[in-house]
Amino acid sequence: MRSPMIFGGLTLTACLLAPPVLGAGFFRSVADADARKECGACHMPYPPALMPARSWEKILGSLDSHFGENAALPEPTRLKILAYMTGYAGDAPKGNAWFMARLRKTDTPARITEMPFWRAIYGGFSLRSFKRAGVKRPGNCLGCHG
Amino acid sequence: MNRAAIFVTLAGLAASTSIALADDRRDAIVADFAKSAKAADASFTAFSADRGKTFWFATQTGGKPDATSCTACHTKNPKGTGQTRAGKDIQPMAVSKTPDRFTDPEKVAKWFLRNCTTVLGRECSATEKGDVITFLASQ
Repeated sequence: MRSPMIFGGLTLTACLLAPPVLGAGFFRSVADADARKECGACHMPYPPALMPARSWEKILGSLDSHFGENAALPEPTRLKILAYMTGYAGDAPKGNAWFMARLRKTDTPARITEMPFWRAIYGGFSLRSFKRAGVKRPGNCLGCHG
Repeated sequence: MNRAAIFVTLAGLAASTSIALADDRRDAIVADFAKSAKAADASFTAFSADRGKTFWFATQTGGKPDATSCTACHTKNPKGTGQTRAGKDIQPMAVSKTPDRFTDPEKVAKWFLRNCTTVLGRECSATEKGDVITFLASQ
């Protein structure tokens, strides 16, 4: 029981420190209105810079079985969101290479939590500690950075 | 208060309630489903809030094992806040709580398609959709 409690405490502390370190501005920076609306209907709309273009292509190419949900979109909407997400992806010229750190060219993560940068920062925290901190899921960035 | 006065008060309440919940856009969506329901089954007469309620709370088969009912995400209280499987809040489905429910035809089509596929493993019929809207508009 002791170690999960310690991790829970660490997560909570991190939660308190997170907003000043990396502000909510970044996580609310999804500029495309369709991406904000459609992706944001079920979960926080993830900023495109968090994953490479090939990840967004994979995700937006299989919306009819999106982590177990049918999240299919009308084709014009899908293409518009795809263009935005790949245009500002982490490995795109307008993206942010920082999030691409240590990502192998052969890997195409489908979740932010599979990205090496994410694992380097948060890999030490248990699922339970996120839940205890009220974040619900590790991928819910705004649970702390909100 | 005499009987007539009580009747007038109740009638007034009923009228104001239905005015508060009525919306031309929702009526048009329901009318469209009624047309489809009639086309599919000539014996169709009208949507039923009772049937919609039964459908809403029923345990379904054919869909995802962790989402076997509308209530899996929307909860058993139509006036309460639900939660998506990804953890995001869903505003109440009861029209009294969220007045713009079922007023955008594209949104209605999109979510019935997705959620019926998830919960029942098939598209919902026009009768099922109209019944559910009628039930939630009464809530």
